[in-house]
Amino acid sequence: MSPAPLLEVRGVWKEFGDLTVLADVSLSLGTHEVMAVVGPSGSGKSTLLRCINLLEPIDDGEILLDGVDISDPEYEADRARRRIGIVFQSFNLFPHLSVLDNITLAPRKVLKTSGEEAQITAQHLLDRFDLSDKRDEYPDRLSGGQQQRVAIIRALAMSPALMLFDEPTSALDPELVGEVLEVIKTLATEGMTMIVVSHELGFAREVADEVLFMDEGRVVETGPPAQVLVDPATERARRFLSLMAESG
Amino acid sequence: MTEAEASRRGPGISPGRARRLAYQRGQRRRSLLIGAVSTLVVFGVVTLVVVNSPGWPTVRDTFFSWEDFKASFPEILAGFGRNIRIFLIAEVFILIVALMVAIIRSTRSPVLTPLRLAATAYVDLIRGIPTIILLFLLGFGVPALRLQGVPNSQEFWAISTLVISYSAYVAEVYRAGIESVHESQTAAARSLGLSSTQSMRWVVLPQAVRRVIPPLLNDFVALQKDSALLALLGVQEAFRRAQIYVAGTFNFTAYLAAALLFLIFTIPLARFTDYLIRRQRERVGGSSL
Repeated sequence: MSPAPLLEVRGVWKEFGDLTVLADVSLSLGTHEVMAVVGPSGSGKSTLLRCINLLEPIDDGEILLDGVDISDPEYEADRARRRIGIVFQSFNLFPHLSVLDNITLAPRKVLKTSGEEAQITAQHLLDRFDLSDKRDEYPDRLSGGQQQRVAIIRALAMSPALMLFDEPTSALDPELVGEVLEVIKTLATEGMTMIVVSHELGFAREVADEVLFMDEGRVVETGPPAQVLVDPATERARRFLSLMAESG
Repeated sequence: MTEAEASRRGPGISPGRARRLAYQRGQRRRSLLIGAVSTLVVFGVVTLVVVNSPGWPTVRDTFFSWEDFKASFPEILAGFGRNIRIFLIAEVFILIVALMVAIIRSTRSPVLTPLRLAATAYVDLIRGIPTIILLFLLGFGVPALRLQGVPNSQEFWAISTLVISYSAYVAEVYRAGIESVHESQTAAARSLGLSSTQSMRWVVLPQAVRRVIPPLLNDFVALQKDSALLALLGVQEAFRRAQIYVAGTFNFTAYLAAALLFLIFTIPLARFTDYLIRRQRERVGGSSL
Protein backbone atom coordinates (compact mmCIF):
# COMPACT_ATOMS: atom_id res chain seq x y z
CA MET A 1 0.00 0.00 0.00
CA SER A 2 1.28 3.45 -0.92
CA PRO A 3 2.17 5.74 1.96
CA ALA A 4 -0.47 8.39 1.14
CA PRO A 5 -3.75 6.69 0.30
CA LEU A 6 -6.08 8.22 -2.28
CA LEU A 7 -9.11 7.57 -0.12
CA GLU A 8 -9.26 7.21 3.60
CA VAL A 9 -12.45 6.60 5.52
CA ARG A 10 -12.02 7.08 9.27
CA GLY A 11 -14.53 6.06 11.88
CA VAL A 12 -17.63 6.89 9.85
CA TRP A 13 -21.06 6.67 11.47
CA LYS A 14 -24.34 6.96 9.64
CA GLU A 15 -27.76 6.75 11.20
CA PHE A 16 -31.25 6.88 9.72
CA GLY A 17 -33.36 7.83 12.73
CA ASP A 18 -32.86 5.09 15.30
CA LEU A 19 -31.26 2.76 12.80
CA THR A 20 -27.47 2.70 12.72
CA VAL A 21 -26.42 1.86 9.17
CA LEU A 22 -22.69 2.46 9.44
CA ALA A 23 -20.91 1.99 12.75
CA ASP A 24 -17.33 3.15 13.00
CA VAL A 25 -16.37 2.14 9.45
CA SER A 26 -12.80 2.74 8.38
CA LEU A 27 -10.93 1.80 5.24
CA SER A 28 -8.02 2.97 3.19
CA LEU A 29 -7.43 2.71 -0.54
CA GLY A 30 -4.28 3.54 -2.47
CA THR A 31 -4.15 4.73 -6.07
CA HIS A 32 -4.65 1.87 -8.58
CA GLU A 33 -6.06 -0.36 -5.87
CA VAL A 34 -9.31 -2.26 -6.21
CA MET A 35 -11.39 -3.01 -3.15
CA ALA A 36 -14.34 -5.37 -3.12
CA VAL A 37 -16.99 -4.89 -0.45
CA VAL A 38 -19.02 -7.99 0.36
CA GLY A 39 -21.57 -8.93 2.95
CA PRO A 40 -25.23 -9.79 3.44
CA SER A 41 -27.88 -7.35 2.21
CA GLY A 42 -28.66 -4.60 4.66
CA SER A 43 -25.08 -4.60 5.95
CA GLY A 44 -24.53 -0.99 4.86
CA LYS A 45 -22.41 -1.59 1.73
CA SER A 46 -24.47 0.65 -0.56
CA THR A 47 -24.81 3.33 2.10
CA LEU A 48 -21.03 3.31 2.47
CA LEU A 49 -20.63 4.09 -1.24
CA ARG A 50 -23.33 6.77 -1.15
CA CYS A 51 -21.56 8.37 1.82
CA ILE A 52 -18.18 8.34 0.08
CA ASN A 53 -19.81 10.06 -2.91
CA LEU A 54 -21.45 12.53 -0.49
CA LEU A 55 -24.94 11.59 -1.68
CA GLU A 56 -25.65 10.90 1.99
CA PRO A 57 -24.20 13.14 4.70
CA ILE A 58 -22.38 11.19 7.41
CA ASP A 59 -23.08 11.70 11.12
CA ASP A 60 -19.55 11.31 12.39
CA GLY A 61 -16.05 10.52 11.15
CA GLU A 62 -13.94 11.68 8.23
CA ILE A 63 -13.66 10.90 4.54
CA LEU A 64 -10.33 12.02 3.13
CA LEU A 65 -9.74 12.25 -0.62
CA ASP A 66 -6.10 13.05 -1.36
CA GLY A 67 -5.77 14.07 2.27
CA VAL A 68 -8.65 16.57 2.17
CA ASP A 69 -11.70 15.93 4.34
CA ILE A 70 -14.50 16.05 1.76
CA SER A 71 -17.12 15.10 4.34
CA ASP A 72 -16.55 18.39 6.14
CA PRO A 73 -19.90 20.21 5.99
CA GLU A 74 -18.03 23.35 4.86
CA TYR A 75 -16.48 21.53 1.91
CA GLU A 76 -18.20 22.07 -1.45
CA ALA A 77 -19.63 18.63 -2.18
CA ASP A 78 -19.99 19.15 -5.95
CA ARG A 79 -16.21 19.51 -6.25
CA ALA A 80 -15.63 16.12 -4.65
CA ARG A 81 -18.36 14.38 -6.65
CA ARG A 82 -16.68 15.47 -9.87
CA ARG A 83 -13.67 13.35 -8.91
CA ILE A 84 -15.64 10.32 -7.71
CA GLY A 85 -17.72 8.39 -10.24
CA ILE A 86 -20.51 6.09 -9.09
CA VAL A 87 -22.36 3.39 -11.00
CA PHE A 88 -25.74 2.40 -9.58
CA GLN A 89 -27.46 -0.94 -9.44
CA SER A 90 -30.38 0.43 -11.47
CA PHE A 91 -28.19 2.24 -14.08
CA ASN A 92 -30.09 5.55 -13.68
CA LEU A 93 -29.40 6.73 -17.21
CA PHE A 94 -31.27 9.89 -18.20
CA PRO A 95 -34.19 8.52 -20.28
CA HIS A 96 -34.81 11.78 -22.15
CA LEU A 97 -31.25 11.98 -23.49
CA SER A 98 -29.51 9.93 -26.16
CA VAL A 99 -26.53 7.77 -25.19
CA LEU A 100 -24.17 10.48 -26.43
CA ASP A 101 -25.94 13.25 -24.49
CA ASN A 102 -26.03 11.09 -21.36
CA ILE A 103 -22.25 10.89 -21.55
CA THR A 104 -21.50 14.50 -22.51
CA LEU A 105 -23.97 16.28 -20.20
CA ALA A 106 -21.76 16.45 -17.11
CA PRO A 107 -18.49 17.28 -18.93
CA ARG A 108 -20.25 20.12 -20.76
CA LYS A 109 -22.19 21.56 -17.82
CA VAL A 110 -19.78 20.87 -14.96
CA LEU A 111 -16.32 20.95 -16.51
CA LYS A 112 -17.44 23.46 -19.19
CA THR A 113 -15.80 21.33 -21.85
CA SER A 114 -16.75 22.43 -25.37
CA GLY A 115 -19.45 20.33 -27.02
CA GLU A 116 -17.03 19.16 -29.67
CA GLU A 117 -14.37 18.08 -27.21
CA ALA A 118 -16.89 16.28 -24.98
CA GLN A 119 -18.19 14.47 -28.03
CA ILE A 120 -14.73 13.31 -29.05
CA THR A 121 -14.06 11.93 -25.56
CA ALA A 122 -17.46 10.20 -25.54
CA GLN A 123 -16.92 8.71 -28.99
CA HIS A 124 -13.53 7.44 -27.90
CA LEU A 125 -15.04 5.71 -24.84
CA LEU A 126 -17.94 4.29 -26.87
CA ASP A 127 -15.47 2.84 -29.39
CA ARG A 128 -13.40 1.30 -26.63
CA PHE A 129 -16.35 -0.45 -25.03
CA ASP A 130 -17.94 -1.51 -28.30
CA LEU A 131 -21.01 0.72 -28.08
CA SER A 132 -20.43 3.23 -30.88
CA ASP A 133 -23.42 1.91 -32.86
CA LYS A 134 -25.65 2.86 -29.88
CA ARG A 135 -24.43 6.46 -29.80
CA ASP A 136 -27.73 8.03 -30.89
CA GLU A 137 -30.10 5.53 -29.27
CA TYR A 138 -32.19 6.34 -26.23
CA PRO A 139 -31.67 4.28 -23.05
CA ASP A 140 -34.99 2.42 -23.31
CA ARG A 141 -33.80 0.91 -26.61
CA LEU A 142 -30.79 -0.74 -24.93
CA SER A 143 -30.45 -4.00 -23.05
CA GLY A 144 -29.70 -3.83 -19.33
CA GLY A 145 -26.08 -4.76 -19.96
CA GLN A 146 -25.70 -2.03 -22.56
CA GLN A 147 -27.36 0.51 -20.27
CA GLN A 148 -24.99 -0.34 -17.45
CA ARG A 149 -21.98 -0.07 -19.77
CA VAL A 150 -23.21 3.38 -20.89
CA ALA A 151 -23.62 4.33 -17.22
CA ILE A 152 -19.99 3.31 -16.61
CA ILE A 153 -18.86 5.36 -19.61
CA ARG A 154 -20.91 8.32 -18.37
CA ALA A 155 -19.00 8.22 -15.09
CA LEU A 156 -15.64 7.71 -16.83
CA ALA A 157 -16.22 10.75 -19.07
CA MET A 158 -15.61 12.95 -16.01
CA SER A 159 -12.12 11.38 -15.67
CA PRO A 160 -12.72 10.47 -12.03
CA ALA A 161 -9.87 9.63 -9.68
CA LEU A 162 -12.02 7.00 -8.01
CA MET A 163 -14.87 4.82 -9.26
CA LEU A 164 -17.56 3.31 -7.05
CA PHE A 165 -19.69 0.40 -8.23
CA ASP A 166 -22.87 -0.30 -6.27
CA GLU A 167 -23.90 -3.88 -7.11
CA PRO A 168 -23.50 -3.09 -10.82
CA THR A 169 -24.80 -6.48 -12.01
CA SER A 170 -27.57 -7.20 -9.48
CA ALA A 171 -30.34 -5.83 -11.69
CA LEU A 172 -29.18 -7.69 -14.80
CA ASP A 173 -30.40 -10.88 -16.40
CA PRO A 174 -27.79 -13.60 -15.80
CA GLU A 175 -26.63 -13.69 -19.43
CA LEU A 176 -25.84 -9.94 -19.37
CA VAL A 177 -23.70 -9.99 -16.22
CA GLY A 178 -20.55 -11.05 -18.07
CA GLU A 179 -20.29 -8.06 -20.41
CA VAL A 180 -20.51 -5.60 -17.51
CA LEU A 181 -17.99 -7.47 -15.34
CA GLU A 182 -15.69 -7.55 -18.37
CA VAL A 183 -15.72 -3.75 -18.56
CA ILE A 184 -14.96 -3.42 -14.85
CA LYS A 185 -12.11 -5.92 -15.17
CA THR A 186 -10.66 -3.92 -18.06
CA LEU A 187 -10.74 -0.79 -15.92
CA ALA A 188 -9.03 -2.66 -13.09
CA THR A 189 -6.18 -3.83 -15.31
CA GLU A 190 -5.76 -0.29 -16.59
CA GLY A 191 -5.14 0.87 -13.04
CA MET A 192 -8.43 2.60 -12.18
CA THR A 193 -8.88 2.96 -8.44
CA MET A 194 -12.21 1.40 -7.51
CA ILE A 195 -14.49 0.15 -4.80
CA VAL A 196 -16.88 -2.55 -5.99
CA VAL A 197 -19.86 -3.72 -3.96
CA SER A 198 -20.80 -7.07 -5.44
CA HIS A 199 -22.30 -10.44 -4.74
CA GLU A 200 -20.17 -11.92 -7.52
CA LEU A 201 -17.58 -13.46 -5.22
CA GLY A 202 -15.64 -15.12 -8.06
CA PHE A 203 -15.31 -11.74 -9.72
CA ALA A 204 -14.27 -10.14 -6.43
CA ARG A 205 -11.51 -12.73 -6.00
CA GLU A 206 -10.29 -12.07 -9.50
CA VAL A 207 -10.10 -8.26 -9.52
CA ALA A 208 -9.79 -7.15 -5.91
CA ASP A 209 -6.53 -6.38 -4.14
CA GLU A 210 -8.40 -6.21 -0.90
CA VAL A 211 -11.75 -7.43 0.36
CA LEU A 212 -13.85 -5.75 3.02
CA PHE A 213 -16.46 -7.91 4.69
CA MET A 214 -19.30 -5.97 6.28
CA ASP A 215 -22.16 -7.01 8.50
CA GLU A 216 -24.72 -4.89 10.34
CA GLY A 217 -22.93 -1.68 9.49
CA ARG A 218 -19.53 -2.80 10.76
CA VAL A 219 -16.35 -3.92 9.07
CA VAL A 220 -16.06 -7.51 10.25
CA GLU A 221 -12.99 -8.55 8.36
CA THR A 222 -10.58 -7.10 5.86
CA GLY A 223 -7.66 -8.54 3.95
CA PRO A 224 -6.54 -10.01 0.62
CA PRO A 225 -9.24 -11.98 -1.25
CA ALA A 226 -7.38 -15.26 -0.88
CA GLN A 227 -7.81 -14.90 2.86
CA VAL A 228 -11.21 -13.22 3.38
CA LEU A 229 -13.01 -15.09 0.61
CA VAL A 230 -11.35 -18.47 1.12
CA ASP A 231 -10.34 -18.84 4.72
CA PRO A 232 -12.00 -16.07 6.72
CA ALA A 233 -10.96 -15.52 10.31
CA THR A 234 -14.41 -14.71 11.65
CA GLU A 235 -17.33 -17.06 12.15
CA ARG A 236 -19.70 -14.47 10.61
CA ALA A 237 -17.80 -14.32 7.32
CA ARG A 238 -17.49 -18.08 7.17
CA ARG A 239 -21.26 -18.49 7.55
CA PHE A 240 -21.91 -15.91 4.82
CA LEU A 241 -19.51 -17.61 2.42
CA SER A 242 -21.06 -21.04 2.90
CA LEU A 243 -24.53 -19.55 2.31
CA MET A 244 -23.32 -17.91 -0.90
CA ALA A 245 -21.71 -21.18 -2.01
CA GLU A 246 -24.98 -23.05 -1.48
CA SER A 247 -27.03 -20.61 -3.53
CA GLY A 248 -24.45 -20.83 -6.30
CA MET B 1 -49.10 -21.99 -27.18
CA THR B 2 -45.79 -23.75 -27.79
CA GLU B 3 -43.75 -23.26 -30.94
CA ALA B 4 -44.64 -26.75 -32.13
CA GLU B 5 -48.34 -25.98 -31.88
CA ALA B 6 -47.89 -22.65 -33.65
CA SER B 7 -46.09 -24.23 -36.59
CA ARG B 8 -48.91 -26.79 -36.89
CA ARG B 9 -51.20 -23.86 -37.80
CA GLY B 10 -50.38 -24.43 -41.53
CA PRO B 11 -53.01 -24.67 -44.31
CA GLY B 12 -55.64 -26.72 -42.47
CA ILE B 13 -57.38 -24.99 -39.53
CA SER B 14 -58.07 -27.40 -36.69
CA PRO B 15 -61.75 -27.84 -35.69
CA GLY B 16 -61.05 -26.38 -32.26
CA ARG B 17 -59.55 -23.22 -33.73
CA ALA B 18 -62.41 -22.85 -36.21
CA ARG B 19 -64.97 -23.12 -33.43
CA ARG B 20 -63.20 -20.42 -31.38
CA LEU B 21 -62.94 -18.09 -34.39
CA ALA B 22 -66.64 -18.50 -35.18
CA TYR B 23 -67.53 -17.79 -31.57
CA GLN B 24 -65.40 -14.61 -31.49
CA ARG B 25 -66.96 -13.40 -34.76
CA GLY B 26 -70.44 -13.95 -33.34
CA GLN B 27 -69.55 -12.02 -30.20
CA ARG B 28 -68.22 -9.08 -32.20
CA ARG B 29 -71.31 -8.95 -34.39
CA ARG B 30 -73.56 -9.07 -31.32
CA SER B 31 -71.84 -6.12 -29.56
CA LEU B 32 -71.95 -4.02 -32.74
CA LEU B 33 -75.67 -4.66 -33.09
CA ILE B 34 -76.42 -3.87 -29.45
CA GLY B 35 -74.42 -0.64 -29.70
CA ALA B 36 -76.21 0.53 -32.85
CA VAL B 37 -79.71 -0.29 -31.63
CA SER B 38 -79.30 1.28 -28.19
CA THR B 39 -77.84 4.47 -29.70
CA LEU B 40 -80.74 4.78 -32.13
CA VAL B 41 -83.32 4.18 -29.41
CA VAL B 42 -81.83 6.70 -26.96
CA PHE B 43 -81.36 9.51 -29.48
CA GLY B 44 -84.70 8.74 -31.14
CA VAL B 45 -86.57 9.04 -27.85
CA VAL B 46 -84.78 12.27 -26.88
CA THR B 47 -85.52 13.82 -30.29
CA LEU B 48 -89.17 12.79 -30.14
CA VAL B 49 -89.59 14.24 -26.65
CA VAL B 50 -87.98 17.54 -27.62
CA VAL B 51 -89.77 17.95 -30.94
CA ASN B 52 -93.17 17.09 -29.44
CA SER B 53 -92.80 19.36 -26.43
CA PRO B 54 -95.35 22.21 -26.28
CA GLY B 55 -92.66 24.92 -26.51
CA TRP B 56 -90.70 23.37 -29.40
CA PRO B 57 -91.96 25.66 -32.22
CA THR B 58 -90.91 28.76 -30.28
CA VAL B 59 -87.53 27.25 -29.32
CA ARG B 60 -86.94 26.21 -32.92
CA ASP B 61 -87.49 29.75 -34.14
CA THR B 62 -85.45 31.47 -31.43
CA PHE B 63 -82.49 29.04 -31.19
CA PHE B 64 -82.28 27.39 -34.61
CA SER B 65 -83.02 30.20 -37.05
CA TRP B 66 -80.83 29.86 -40.13
CA GLU B 67 -81.42 33.52 -41.10
CA ASP B 68 -80.24 34.78 -37.73
CA PHE B 69 -77.29 32.39 -37.86
CA LYS B 70 -76.17 33.84 -41.20
CA ALA B 71 -76.75 37.40 -40.05
CA SER B 72 -74.88 37.12 -36.76
CA PHE B 73 -72.05 34.82 -37.80
CA PRO B 74 -69.56 37.29 -39.42
CA GLU B 75 -69.58 39.56 -36.35
CA ILE B 76 -69.17 36.64 -33.97
CA LEU B 77 -66.39 35.13 -36.06
CA ALA B 78 -64.54 38.45 -35.94
CA GLY B 79 -65.03 38.46 -32.17
CA PHE B 80 -63.71 34.90 -31.96
CA GLY B 81 -60.40 36.10 -33.39
CA ARG B 82 -60.16 38.07 -30.15
CA ASN B 83 -60.73 34.89 -28.11
CA ILE B 84 -57.88 33.17 -29.89
CA ARG B 85 -55.60 36.15 -29.36
CA ILE B 86 -56.47 36.35 -25.67
CA PHE B 87 -55.96 32.60 -25.36
CA LEU B 88 -52.53 32.70 -26.99
CA ILE B 89 -51.24 35.67 -25.00
CA ALA B 90 -52.56 34.28 -21.70
CA GLU B 91 -51.16 30.82 -22.44
CA VAL B 92 -47.59 32.03 -22.93
CA PHE B 93 -47.62 33.90 -19.62
CA ILE B 94 -49.34 31.04 -17.79
CA LEU B 95 -46.69 28.54 -18.91
CA ILE B 96 -43.91 30.80 -17.66
CA VAL B 97 -45.48 32.00 -14.39
CA ALA B 98 -46.71 28.52 -13.47
CA LEU B 99 -43.30 26.95 -14.10
CA MET B 100 -41.64 29.51 -11.82
CA VAL B 101 -44.20 28.91 -9.07
CA ALA B 102 -43.77 25.13 -9.42
CA ILE B 103 -39.97 25.32 -9.25
CA ILE B 104 -40.11 27.58 -6.20
CA ARG B 105 -42.48 25.16 -4.48
CA SER B 106 -40.31 22.15 -5.35
CA THR B 107 -36.96 23.43 -4.08
CA ARG B 108 -35.82 22.98 -0.51
CA SER B 109 -33.24 25.75 -0.36
CA PRO B 110 -33.73 27.73 2.89
CA VAL B 111 -32.92 31.02 1.10
CA LEU B 112 -36.15 30.65 -0.87
CA THR B 113 -38.36 30.04 2.19
CA PRO B 114 -40.22 33.40 1.94
CA LEU B 115 -40.79 32.87 -1.78
CA ARG B 116 -41.92 29.32 -1.14
CA LEU B 117 -44.45 30.48 1.43
CA ALA B 118 -45.71 33.15 -0.96
CA ALA B 119 -46.04 30.61 -3.77
CA THR B 120 -47.96 28.18 -1.54
CA ALA B 121 -50.27 30.96 -0.35
CA TYR B 122 -50.83 32.09 -3.94
CA VAL B 123 -51.78 28.61 -5.12
CA ASP B 124 -54.11 27.97 -2.16
CA LEU B 125 -55.77 31.37 -2.41
CA ILE B 126 -56.32 31.50 -6.15
CA ARG B 127 -57.56 27.94 -6.44
CA GLY B 128 -60.18 28.76 -3.83
CA ILE B 129 -61.64 31.85 -5.54
CA PRO B 130 -64.07 31.40 -8.47
CA THR B 131 -62.48 32.84 -11.61
CA ILE B 132 -65.52 34.99 -12.25
CA ILE B 133 -65.20 36.76 -8.88
CA LEU B 134 -61.47 37.28 -9.41
CA LEU B 135 -62.29 38.74 -12.81
CA PHE B 136 -64.67 41.31 -11.31
CA LEU B 137 -62.26 42.17 -8.47
CA LEU B 138 -59.31 42.78 -10.79
CA GLY B 139 -61.19 43.99 -13.87
CA PHE B 140 -63.26 46.64 -12.09
CA GLY B 141 -61.20 47.13 -8.92
CA VAL B 142 -57.69 47.83 -10.16
CA PRO B 143 -58.57 50.28 -12.96
CA ALA B 144 -60.75 52.17 -10.45
CA LEU B 145 -57.63 52.86 -8.37
CA ARG B 146 -56.39 55.02 -11.27
CA LEU B 147 -52.79 54.21 -10.39
CA GLN B 148 -50.08 55.97 -12.37
CA GLY B 149 -48.38 53.69 -14.90
CA VAL B 150 -50.81 50.81 -14.40
CA PRO B 151 -52.76 49.98 -17.56
CA ASN B 152 -56.47 50.75 -17.40
CA SER B 153 -57.54 48.68 -20.37
CA GLN B 154 -60.07 46.06 -19.37
CA GLU B 155 -58.63 43.60 -21.83
CA PHE B 156 -55.29 43.89 -20.00
CA TRP B 157 -56.91 43.08 -16.66
CA ALA B 158 -59.07 40.40 -18.18
CA ILE B 159 -56.00 38.59 -19.55
CA SER B 160 -54.18 39.15 -16.25
CA THR B 161 -57.04 37.47 -14.41
CA LEU B 162 -56.80 34.42 -16.63
CA VAL B 163 -53.02 34.30 -16.14
CA ILE B 164 -53.27 34.65 -12.37
CA SER B 165 -56.08 32.13 -12.08
CA TYR B 166 -54.77 29.47 -14.44
CA SER B 167 -51.14 29.71 -13.31
CA ALA B 168 -52.16 28.36 -9.92
CA TYR B 169 -53.64 25.22 -11.50
CA VAL B 170 -50.91 24.77 -14.07
CA ALA B 171 -48.24 25.20 -11.37
CA GLU B 172 -49.71 22.20 -9.58
CA VAL B 173 -49.63 20.20 -12.79
CA TYR B 174 -45.96 21.04 -13.26
CA ARG B 175 -45.23 20.21 -9.63
CA ALA B 176 -46.84 16.80 -9.96
CA GLY B 177 -44.58 16.24 -12.98
CA ILE B 178 -41.46 17.31 -11.08
CA GLU B 179 -42.31 15.03 -8.18
CA SER B 180 -42.98 12.11 -10.52
CA VAL B 181 -39.32 12.08 -11.62
CA HIS B 182 -37.67 9.48 -9.40
CA GLU B 183 -35.05 10.78 -6.99
CA SER B 184 -32.53 8.30 -8.39
CA GLN B 185 -32.36 10.62 -11.41
CA THR B 186 -31.30 13.49 -9.19
CA ALA B 187 -28.84 11.21 -7.41
CA ALA B 188 -27.30 10.24 -10.76
CA ALA B 189 -27.05 13.89 -11.82
CA ARG B 190 -25.57 15.02 -8.51
CA SER B 191 -23.08 12.13 -8.49
CA LEU B 192 -21.69 13.45 -11.77
CA GLY B 193 -21.02 16.80 -10.12
CA LEU B 194 -24.05 18.72 -11.40
CA SER B 195 -25.30 21.31 -8.92
CA SER B 196 -28.89 21.09 -7.68
CA THR B 197 -29.90 23.88 -10.08
CA GLN B 198 -28.21 22.11 -12.99
CA SER B 199 -29.85 18.80 -12.06
CA MET B 200 -33.24 20.51 -12.05
CA ARG B 201 -32.61 22.28 -15.36
CA TRP B 202 -31.06 19.45 -17.38
CA VAL B 203 -32.37 16.24 -15.82
CA VAL B 204 -35.59 16.71 -13.82
CA LEU B 205 -37.45 19.46 -15.72
CA PRO B 206 -37.14 18.01 -19.23
CA GLN B 207 -38.62 14.72 -18.01
CA ALA B 208 -41.29 16.43 -15.87
CA VAL B 209 -42.52 18.71 -18.65
CA ARG B 210 -42.77 15.85 -21.13
CA ARG B 211 -44.90 13.88 -18.70
CA VAL B 212 -47.38 16.70 -18.04
CA ILE B 213 -48.03 17.77 -21.64
CA PRO B 214 -51.40 15.92 -21.83
CA PRO B 215 -52.80 17.40 -18.58
CA LEU B 216 -51.46 20.82 -19.68
CA LEU B 217 -53.40 20.53 -22.93
CA ASN B 218 -56.50 19.72 -20.89
CA ASP B 219 -56.05 23.02 -19.09
CA PHE B 220 -55.63 24.76 -22.47
CA VAL B 221 -59.06 23.50 -23.52
CA ALA B 222 -60.57 24.92 -20.34
CA LEU B 223 -58.71 28.21 -20.80
CA GLN B 224 -59.99 28.61 -24.34
CA LYS B 225 -63.56 28.20 -23.07
CA ASP B 226 -63.00 30.58 -20.16
CA SER B 227 -61.88 33.31 -22.54
CA ALA B 228 -65.68 33.86 -22.96
CA LEU B 229 -65.76 35.11 -19.35
CA LEU B 230 -64.08 38.26 -20.61
CA ALA B 231 -67.41 39.29 -22.13
CA LEU B 232 -68.40 40.21 -18.57
CA LEU B 233 -65.84 43.02 -18.61
CA GLY B 234 -67.12 44.21 -21.97
CA VAL B 235 -64.29 42.78 -24.05
CA GLN B 236 -65.62 42.42 -27.60
CA GLU B 237 -65.04 38.72 -28.05
CA ALA B 238 -67.34 36.09 -29.60
CA PHE B 239 -69.76 35.69 -26.69
CA ARG B 240 -70.03 39.46 -26.20
CA ARG B 241 -70.81 39.95 -29.91
CA ALA B 242 -73.45 37.23 -29.65
CA GLN B 243 -74.98 38.97 -26.63
CA ILE B 244 -75.18 42.22 -28.58
CA TYR B 245 -76.91 40.51 -31.48
CA VAL B 246 -79.37 38.77 -29.15
CA ALA B 247 -80.16 42.06 -27.40
CA GLY B 248 -81.11 43.62 -30.74
CA THR B 249 -83.17 40.75 -32.19
CA PHE B 250 -84.39 38.67 -29.25
CA ASN B 251 -83.19 35.65 -31.19
CA PHE B 252 -80.80 33.29 -29.39
CA THR B 253 -79.32 31.59 -32.47
CA ALA B 254 -76.26 33.81 -32.10
CA TYR B 255 -75.30 31.96 -28.88
CA LEU B 256 -75.40 28.71 -30.80
CA ALA B 257 -73.13 30.23 -33.44
CA ALA B 258 -70.64 31.26 -30.74
CA ALA B 259 -70.80 27.80 -29.12
CA LEU B 260 -70.11 26.22 -32.49
CA LEU B 261 -66.94 28.27 -32.93
CA PHE B 262 -65.67 27.22 -29.50
CA LEU B 263 -66.37 23.59 -30.35
CA ILE B 264 -64.49 23.80 -33.64
CA PHE B 265 -61.47 24.92 -31.67
CA THR B 266 -61.70 22.75 -28.53
CA ILE B 267 -62.77 19.36 -29.94
CA PRO B 268 -59.62 18.83 -32.04
CA LEU B 269 -57.52 19.96 -29.07
CA ALA B 270 -59.30 17.49 -26.80
CA ARG B 271 -58.89 14.66 -29.34
CA PHE B 272 -55.19 15.52 -29.71
CA THR B 273 -54.80 15.37 -25.92
CA ASP B 274 -56.40 11.92 -25.82
CA TYR B 275 -54.06 10.80 -28.57
CA LEU B 276 -51.01 12.01 -26.63
CA ILE B 277 -52.18 10.32 -23.43
CA ARG B 278 -52.68 7.05 -25.29
CA ARG B 279 -49.27 7.28 -26.93
CA GLN B 280 -47.59 8.07 -23.64
CA ARG B 281 -49.26 5.12 -21.93
CA GLU B 282 -48.00 2.80 -24.66
CA ARG B 283 -44.48 4.17 -24.36
CA VAL B 284 -44.41 3.92 -20.59
CA GLY B 285 -45.70 0.36 -20.84
CA GLY B 286 -42.84 -0.58 -23.13
CA SER B 287 -40.02 0.82 -21.07
CA SER B 288 -38.83 0.29 -17.54
CA LEU B 289 -37.61 3.87 -17.21
